[in-house]
Amino acid sequence: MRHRHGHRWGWRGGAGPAAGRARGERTAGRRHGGPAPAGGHGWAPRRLIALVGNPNTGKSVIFHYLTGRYVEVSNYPGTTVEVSAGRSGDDLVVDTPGVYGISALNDEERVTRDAVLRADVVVNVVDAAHLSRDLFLTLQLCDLGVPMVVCLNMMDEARGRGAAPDPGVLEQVLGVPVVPTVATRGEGLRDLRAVLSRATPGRPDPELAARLAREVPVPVPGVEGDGRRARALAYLYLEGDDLAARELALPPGGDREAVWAHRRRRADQVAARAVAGPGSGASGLDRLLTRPLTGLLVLLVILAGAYWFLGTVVAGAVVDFLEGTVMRGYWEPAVRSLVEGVVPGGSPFWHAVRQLLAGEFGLLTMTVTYIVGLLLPLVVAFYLIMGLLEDSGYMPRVAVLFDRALSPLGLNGRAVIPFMLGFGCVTMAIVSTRVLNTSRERRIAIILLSLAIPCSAQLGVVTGMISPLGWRVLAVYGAVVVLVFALAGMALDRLFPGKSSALLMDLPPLRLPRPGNLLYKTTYRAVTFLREAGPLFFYGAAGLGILQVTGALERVQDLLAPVVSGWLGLPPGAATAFVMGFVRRDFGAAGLYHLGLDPLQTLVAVVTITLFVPCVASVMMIGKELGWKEAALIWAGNIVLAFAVGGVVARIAPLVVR
Amino acid sequence: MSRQALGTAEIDLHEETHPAVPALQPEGAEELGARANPLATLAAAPVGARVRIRYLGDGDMRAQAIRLGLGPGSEVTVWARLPRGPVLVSRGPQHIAVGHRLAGQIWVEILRSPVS
Repeated sequence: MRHRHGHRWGWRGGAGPAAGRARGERTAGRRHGGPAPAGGHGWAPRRLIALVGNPNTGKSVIFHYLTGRYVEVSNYPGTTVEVSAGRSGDDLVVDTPGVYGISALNDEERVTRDAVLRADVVVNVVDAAHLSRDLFLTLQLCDLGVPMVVCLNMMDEARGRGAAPDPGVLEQVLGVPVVPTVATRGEGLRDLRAVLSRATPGRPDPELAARLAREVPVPVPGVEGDGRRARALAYLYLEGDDLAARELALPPGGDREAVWAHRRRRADQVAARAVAGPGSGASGLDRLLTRPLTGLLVLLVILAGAYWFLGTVVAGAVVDFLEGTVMRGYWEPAVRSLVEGVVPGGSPFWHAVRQLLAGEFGLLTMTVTYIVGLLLPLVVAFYLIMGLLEDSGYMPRVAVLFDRALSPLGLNGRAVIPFMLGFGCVTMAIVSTRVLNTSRERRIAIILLSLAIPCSAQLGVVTGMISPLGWRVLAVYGAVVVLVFALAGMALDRLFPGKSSALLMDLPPLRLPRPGNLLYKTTYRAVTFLREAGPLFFYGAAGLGILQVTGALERVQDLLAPVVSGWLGLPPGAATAFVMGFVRRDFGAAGLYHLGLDPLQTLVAVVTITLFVPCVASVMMIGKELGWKEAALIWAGNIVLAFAVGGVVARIAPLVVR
Repeated sequence: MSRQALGTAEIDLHEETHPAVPALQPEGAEELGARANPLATLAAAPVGARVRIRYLGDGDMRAQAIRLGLGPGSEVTVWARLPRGPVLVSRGPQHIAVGHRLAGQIWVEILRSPVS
């Protein structure tokens, strides 16, 4: 499902020596030696234009301007890094992930590295209000010798601080066209497009160039074309880039820290020349947000607001309308009569087909209703809220607040991002664990997501069943889940060898989110959700449907009954709800609600379903990220732990609360 | 290779990034020559102080820290610290959060204490 986009890129490969590559190496892209296949677009682009820049510099706005509405977001082949590609006239424009520099150190930088090596033109988008920081990447691009143009964006903010850079000075120093823009207002964008044809390689650092000539035995012609890649790789080799070393058939070498320190100093010097004016310190609002007491208070207020919006407005009104009135009222009856009309009734086989299509787990009834009526509105609303938190620059502040709390779990503050996303949809949150630095942290975060983070559909059931029981029961529920989360995290931290990485995070300035960008982000994420997770629900529903019509489902329920009744103290019908939970994360609400559970049973049921395995889409996502053996292990562990804790709660809770 | 000067640069770049660790008690300040500024870890530097980074410790985030502007020789201002939590520093308009463990490995020279 991920790789089907790969063949549609249609890139004309950056010319260069075809290099052998070690097998099994995690690649950042395929190699084309010559003209590209026309691919799904039916055209071969004239030029490949890569947008490269730090995070939060406005690359996506510029991407939109250049490509209009023809946008395609897909994963870079071989990675989980998301890249947008679109058409601009005869050119193919690619938006790379925000990076502070190019290297082979992580997926994002490898992907950007690959794009830069192949591109015909690079548009380096720079935040004019953070020139010193951004110029590191710019100078690196100059060293790599790729034809480039600098887009000096966010000039309005820089002017606002009284520290607007002089584009003329930058042009002179860097040797490439520099265009000042305010992308959100459309200023300067036409000039940017016009200047693309004048893109030229920047001026490399003379000292590095001298070192290159002395130390790297590669001919470096001054002419562009075939020699360009070799020259770029040679510069990367000087920085200790192992992939470059391999491709150049050289022993690993170079001194990354020395080169980077030198480039960092140059960046500061160039910025000092280009900008007259002091920078500003931290704003009062920023202090408020990051001091623990006030910061947590603000967070609680925001979460309360989000909960109200999601719970009352969306899960209440919107879902009631969509799922209840539209889907169950019109869609399902229509589908049922259609199926009954088309599919003959006679034999058990056809009856089974009817069941599969329109029965309890019907592919056309329940699954569609669930996705369109319940999941979609919840997920869209959730992504809207997340987009607000991200675009305002608030998320990194939350990461700062929680960094200390997360370190006993082997994680750092960055993990708040997947965990918060998990409350919307665990499947997508698992994908987002790529923001974490090491695979060890990704593994821990994925396991914790699977174990203890309830998605929005699930939260609906939980709150619906628990709120009538009073705040004390709610508190016990919360305490149990948080405790399991913390203990599991600490156990995993001890179990897996290695250390978590330290938090080192650039905090973007706090700003008002732009409605257009927010809408675009939310739409694209919702579409991605439908495209990636949607089909998985159908597979799961088909599986359950087959189990049901073959009678195997009943046997599974009989197997579970002793555990469910004996250990958990719940009526045997609850087993059905658990099994349904594989597909319907709201646990076939009808099933659970109609069991007539007393308060203790409700608490046990709710704790158990929270800790229980995630939906089929999440399980498949875990399989993709960690491999199937590990996914199976996690799945089994989840079940055991969920039931174990449920039973313990059934026995201890009466002593604590009554 | 790392000890060679780049071109005509007089500074030994490798020396810059891996200086001999000075005796890191205040009385060791004499060893730094004319400088008599107190040294501390970034985790211990007072909020509001302006500091110069001297030594980055041994962690795996060294190169990234250098790239972001937190290399030896850089001057930053400490503008917030969470108790046993991240330290927030600013370098002009740039704000950077440094986790507690990393901050404990970065030694800085305190140039100007906050007026208390």
